[in-house]
Amino acid sequence: MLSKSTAPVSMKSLTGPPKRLLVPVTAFLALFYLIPLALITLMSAGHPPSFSLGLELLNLAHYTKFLSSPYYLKVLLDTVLLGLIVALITAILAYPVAYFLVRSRSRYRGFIYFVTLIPMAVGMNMITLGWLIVLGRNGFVNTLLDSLGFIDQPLGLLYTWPAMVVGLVNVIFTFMVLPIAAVLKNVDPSLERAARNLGAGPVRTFLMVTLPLSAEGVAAGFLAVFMQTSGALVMPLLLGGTSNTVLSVSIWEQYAVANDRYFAAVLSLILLAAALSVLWLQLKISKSREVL
Amino acid sequence: MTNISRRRLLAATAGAIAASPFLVSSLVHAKDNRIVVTSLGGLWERSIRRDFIPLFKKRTGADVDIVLGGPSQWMSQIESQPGKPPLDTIDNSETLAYQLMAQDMAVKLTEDKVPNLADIPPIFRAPWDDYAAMYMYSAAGFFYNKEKIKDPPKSWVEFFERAGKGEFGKSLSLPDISYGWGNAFIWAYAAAHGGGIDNIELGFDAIERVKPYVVKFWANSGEVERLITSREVDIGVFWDGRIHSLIEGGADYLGFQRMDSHVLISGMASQVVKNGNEALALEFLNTLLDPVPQLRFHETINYAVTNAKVQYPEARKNQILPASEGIIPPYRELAQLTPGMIQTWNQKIRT
Repeated sequence: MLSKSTAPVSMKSLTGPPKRLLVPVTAFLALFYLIPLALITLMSAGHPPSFSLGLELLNLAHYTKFLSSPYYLKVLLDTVLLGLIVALITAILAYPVAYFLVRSRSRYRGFIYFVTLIPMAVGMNMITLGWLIVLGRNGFVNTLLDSLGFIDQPLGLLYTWPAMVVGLVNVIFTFMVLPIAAVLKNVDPSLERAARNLGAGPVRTFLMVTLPLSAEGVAAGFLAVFMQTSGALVMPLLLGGTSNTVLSVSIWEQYAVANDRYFAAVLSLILLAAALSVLWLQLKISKSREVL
Repeated sequence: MTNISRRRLLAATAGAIAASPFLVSSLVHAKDNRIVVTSLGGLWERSIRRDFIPLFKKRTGADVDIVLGGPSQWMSQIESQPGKPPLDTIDNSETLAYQLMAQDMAVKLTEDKVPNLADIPPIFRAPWDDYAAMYMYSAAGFFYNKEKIKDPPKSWVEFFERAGKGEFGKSLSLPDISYGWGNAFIWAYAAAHGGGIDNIELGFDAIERVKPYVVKFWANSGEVERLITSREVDIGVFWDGRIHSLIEGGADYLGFQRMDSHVLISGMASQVVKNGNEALALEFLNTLLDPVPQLRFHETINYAVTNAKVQYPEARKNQILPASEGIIPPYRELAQLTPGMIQTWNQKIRT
């Protein structure tokens, strides 16, 4: 007679964890995300948030308002651009840090890892306040430049696009480093050594071997950074200037000031669509790479 | 290890179910002697808890829960449950107070139910036909850096004229349209230049003249206070109480200049919400309008208060603008103009 430990394993248990493990998170998402999303979609079409549907109330007036407004189209463009720029800069800065964390045997690795996690621990609001002090008219940068004799008058560093970009790159940096590092860990170093042995220089090895093999990590980090940047409110509101409005600020304004929740719903769905578009693009690129 | 038998588990569950009506009823009973009110945060909340609630509790024996936040958030909470609102009173904005009235969700205040209403000047309740009353108010004026500006402007017209010529350099700060009273300030600019509700464009024209010299249009009080204390800006407009608090807090470089005319005054339009605990809520509003805690509120937060019987300390009397010298915008009409004003702001100021 076979003991329990040597009993044959059923095919069912080989197909992965049971789907019922997904029930709690699915229920949570349905209750706190899908249902509110449905109600917001109704609101964007002019229908009050309600479970009883009045088809005669539906209209696309608020969508027409958005699409016919050069101002709001510019806000959408600025929002997407900000997300892309921040993601690109973060990727360029984060990759070497991720590479160091994975490949280096330096005793400072732990310290660098800790420093990388600090933005997550400190939080966006505190970091924003910090940059307000650093970039201010009497802040660290202007004071340093003045003391070195480079400037006579303080530079207007705050309330500009660069101020927003710097702040966002700082606060979201961790979300780029960690995915890249996770994928780099699975890249066999012997492949890089093989390339070097075959005569490829360090740059060519990186471009032809390391980067392609770690592209999924970069893509995952890019997506995470883009989504967080495009939805950021506090930093654009406090570090951005009058002409640097992004969708999240417009949404808040329509809700809290104009009291036009229907138009705020439209802007929210536009923002969601922009983020999902980037997700779709990333998935499409990943899939085409699998085929290749 | 104790094994819990199925029988014992079923018995315990049955007992819990049998006891639950008593628990629910005791919760309901506790709610009858409790109201939920609103407050801004920081010193404001501290004053509500320390200066108003103890008097209310002494008079009624009821408990008070405070919900922090702002008018937009509180209105959303009320509108989501109009049959049984989660708030019994609301410190509303002047504009949103009309919205609550339009939804027939505000209780009319009468002197028999709110005795202290008799000592509140009409300017602080008549705009809302007694469906709201203000217990505090603040008056706008120019803050300025005394080290850099020796002769501050004394009127809106003078301010925009001198600032528009670059006299103060790029060191201005003005409210953004997204500030809760941003639209009221624009109305005040327009009124000072001969316009008003029917010609609000004059307000935008004034802003456009000084726009190149504005460091930041601020969206909330915390932001402008930070701009002032970090000396990012040298001149702008803000509420008297907050500026005096900053000066008393050590900002010696800071000065405050009252305008000669068109002094905008503003405050919270407090309302009792229908379908809540109305009787207790009316008594709480009566407490907000009481001169004794109002004086303590003023001493805490430096804003003026509305009860005519309040005697301000001598040292602070000259800081208080008499209500008769201020102007309150026609908020009912302003509320209807606001969406269009945001569009104009986006086109003229944000681009």
